[in-house]
Amino acid sequence: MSTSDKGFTVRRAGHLVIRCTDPVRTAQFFKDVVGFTQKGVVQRGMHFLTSDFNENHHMLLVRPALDGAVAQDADSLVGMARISYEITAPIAYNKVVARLIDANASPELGSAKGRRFVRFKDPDGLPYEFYCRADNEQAA
Amino acid sequence: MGQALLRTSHLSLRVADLARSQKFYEELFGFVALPADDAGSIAMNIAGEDEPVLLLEASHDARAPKPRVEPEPFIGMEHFAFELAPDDFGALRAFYRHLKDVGAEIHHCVDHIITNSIYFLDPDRNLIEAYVNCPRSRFEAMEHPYGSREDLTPALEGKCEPGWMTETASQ
Repeated sequence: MSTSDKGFTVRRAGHLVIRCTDPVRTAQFFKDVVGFTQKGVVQRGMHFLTSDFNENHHMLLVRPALDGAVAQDADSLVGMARISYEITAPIAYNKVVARLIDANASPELGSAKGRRFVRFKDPDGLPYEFYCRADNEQAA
Repeated sequence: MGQALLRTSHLSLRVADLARSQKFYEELFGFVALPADDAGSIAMNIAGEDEPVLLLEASHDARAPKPRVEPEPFIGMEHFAFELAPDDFGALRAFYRHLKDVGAEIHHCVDHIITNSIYFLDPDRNLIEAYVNCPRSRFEAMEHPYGSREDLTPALEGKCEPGWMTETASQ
């Protein structure tokens, strides 16, 4: 059921915003592991992260949780089960995996449906996936 | 727009009622539902696209904690955003009308400088954003191109144009 006759379409998934206990620590984790860069300045503890500002002005926004926030079991709650990012270059994917191992982030490696993936949790236990498709690997 | 080295692919949501959430996202965004390999999960694609932008999986725990929305304190996803096309305010107005037609609960609407955005709640009370990009000329000279300015509700209801658009036109 297309929405184009209504005057809009969805172009793509844009970004995730998370609330975390220590935004500086979490932002640094993603800069170190994924190679995200920060755009803009940090205001009210918000870190705008992207791999390419011209491609997508932010892919992940890390901001502080409000006072009194308590971590929940991300593996059971209704809501976000995982956020997935695609890395199109196999070399870049391999670097992310290596950095996750170096960071003792307990990455889980796997492959399915023509892709390799790595799953891990951030410092607050929130679940992420990065994957690389096999057709990109064959093209490389 | 060239081939990105890294892109936001999809969100996996654990939902309380799979059929209800599937219907909501089909009606609202026009996503096409495809059965995923995992039992009890559905991949939702933009029509004509090969890769899902949303993966719905059924929660099998009736006591599972539900998403929280500010001002409740929580650690985890605050919201997830989908980018609309075309990049103009008319598309966001059209989406706003459609949101009202399907009866979704609108949370707030705001000018973020870099985007114009509508936030709303899905059936499990996940906060979702839909946005259109603003013209690059508006923010390319800014050190910090992100912000929260005017409430866009009056403009989305057609009572006026967004303030930033009027300011730009008068310069």
